[in-house]
Amino acid sequence: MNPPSPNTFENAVSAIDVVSVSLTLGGKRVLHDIDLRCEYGRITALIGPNGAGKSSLLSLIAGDEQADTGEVRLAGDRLTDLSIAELAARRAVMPQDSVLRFAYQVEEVVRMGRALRDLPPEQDDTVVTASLHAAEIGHLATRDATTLSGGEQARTTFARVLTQQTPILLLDEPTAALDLRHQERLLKSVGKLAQAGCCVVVVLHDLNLAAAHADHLVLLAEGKIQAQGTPWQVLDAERLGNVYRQPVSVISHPQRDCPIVVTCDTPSDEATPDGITTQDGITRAYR
Amino acid sequence: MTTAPPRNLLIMRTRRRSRPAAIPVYLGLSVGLLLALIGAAVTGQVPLSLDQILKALITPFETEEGQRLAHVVFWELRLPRALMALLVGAALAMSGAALQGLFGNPLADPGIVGVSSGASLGAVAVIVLQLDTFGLWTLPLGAFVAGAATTALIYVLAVRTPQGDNASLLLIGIAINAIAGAATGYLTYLASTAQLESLLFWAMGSLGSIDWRAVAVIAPIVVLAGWLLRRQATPLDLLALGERQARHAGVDVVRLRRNLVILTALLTAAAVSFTGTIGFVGLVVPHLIRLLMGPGHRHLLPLSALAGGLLLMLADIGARSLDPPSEIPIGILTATLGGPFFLWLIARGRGMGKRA
Repeated sequence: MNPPSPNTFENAVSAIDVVSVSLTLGGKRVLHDIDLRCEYGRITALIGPNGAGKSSLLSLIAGDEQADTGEVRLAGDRLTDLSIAELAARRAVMPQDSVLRFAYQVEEVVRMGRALRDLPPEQDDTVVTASLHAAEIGHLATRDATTLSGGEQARTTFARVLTQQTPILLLDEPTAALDLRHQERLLKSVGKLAQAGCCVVVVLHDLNLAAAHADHLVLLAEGKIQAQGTPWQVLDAERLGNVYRQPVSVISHPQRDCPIVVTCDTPSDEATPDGITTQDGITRAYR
Repeated sequence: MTTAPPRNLLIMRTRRRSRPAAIPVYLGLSVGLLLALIGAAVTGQVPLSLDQILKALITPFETEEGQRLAHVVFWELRLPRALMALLVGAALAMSGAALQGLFGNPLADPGIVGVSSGASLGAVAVIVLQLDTFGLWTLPLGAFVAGAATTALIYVLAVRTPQGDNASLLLIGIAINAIAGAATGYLTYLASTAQLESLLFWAMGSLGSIDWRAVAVIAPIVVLAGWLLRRQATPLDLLALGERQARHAGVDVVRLRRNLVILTALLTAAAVSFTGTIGFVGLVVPHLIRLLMGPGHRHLLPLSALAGGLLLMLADIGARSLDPPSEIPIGILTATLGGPFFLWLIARGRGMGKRA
């Protein structure tokens, strides 16, 4: 499915508008001429193999990187025209890895999300409590946040992002460190935010999580958008097989109305000699 | 894993107890400061009684016979000296707390941005080159200007590196500190024996030559810069998330870094210009407060100021009374106490870093 042409909805203001953007990082071109619109009220999932440019695209939208060409607009305004405070009022970012350099308590960290927002302070306690609850870290509120497990850290960061109360949420692999239950919980609460009108962009490695929770999938490979649309439209076995260089089958979820992607054997697996060099330059021994 | 809401609520209600309430700590430190002030007033070569001090306090501008000596000792020597100790300790401890927050490194101290080595260079240059353009004010002025200029140089060079981040600031700070140290060493090598004595005195720190003029110059700087520093408490907290995430949450990291460097340079240069280098206050005091109250800068900065002032007042009482009639340089005392204390912090396991 082709991306909607930017001219089609010239009047409507999208939450995020990426217009013919290219990005070079460390001398390597990681994004080629990307056009993307993300709408309010939807979860847009960025999927694709390693090194496809998913996280680069997300940090570009977050304002961390400057595009070589093209421009990014948040709610109609060019990213480069927005101040740091205005950006913080429009978008919250959940990074892949979280840093914490002093022994703040979990609740203090969560509170930091709105510390510099111009939001009514009398709502702080309510919002912080609700965020702690949504991330299921209420019982950790007084814990030293530097002693948490990876999953607890990720949930703390998620709760902090929630307290920022922005209309746009950018999440970079939020579920990577989480167990099954918390993966579901996190994406469900993200879904509620989208229903309430937020625009959510989430990088996901797990295609089945993306299929189950996202409204719109964007498949990236080699810095280009290969396909976008609904999960059923994008998750096509042949296309995924080509993009991931791994044969897959796409079946239907037994309960939910969404596809499931399962890996299949490579037809040539048995014929593969020991120690072949893959295209990544990685030598693997098959025995 | 299931977490029943009632249990959650219970914990939410009790969470505020996990950190000690701030008000008793402020009160305790204030009472400590008052007691230290009284202690500083009564101790010394001329013993003063509380009665004499009270009389001097009540009648600041007139003296009855027999009270004259007490009056002069209290008003002209001990009070300005104690207040200077308070101001210098507060300035050093606050700077240390802010710079540790900026660098996310509990080992950062005011020396890291070059103020101390620059001020030393300035002071040594004034002494060895026998400058006296501004009379008695030449030495503190030289130390202040050289300290601030060194920091400015480090900052400008760091901003021009491709990254322009905290790591650049740290690395360039190390390089410039080394250059300033070399220049100081060269000047020291040229110094005469008499000059060496003054140099040594400055390098070890002393509150011996403090009068009201010095207090009057330093007090506004420390109060103003300290107040401005306290206003950076929230962005400093967010900086603990890392520069990128702090920016996501609305911190202008570049501006914050510039403000912090200016304010801490001002505070430290002001502190050391009259008293010479006094180590370990800026390193140890913020650690103690973090252990007690957690890392939040809203309380860390003002409490560090109070505790730093208290520590330096006590150290100065020690400096004056441990080996009468001579005075032990106060820098030696703070290092003597600070070194072992720091070792103890490290021995507490993860005390140095994230826990502290």
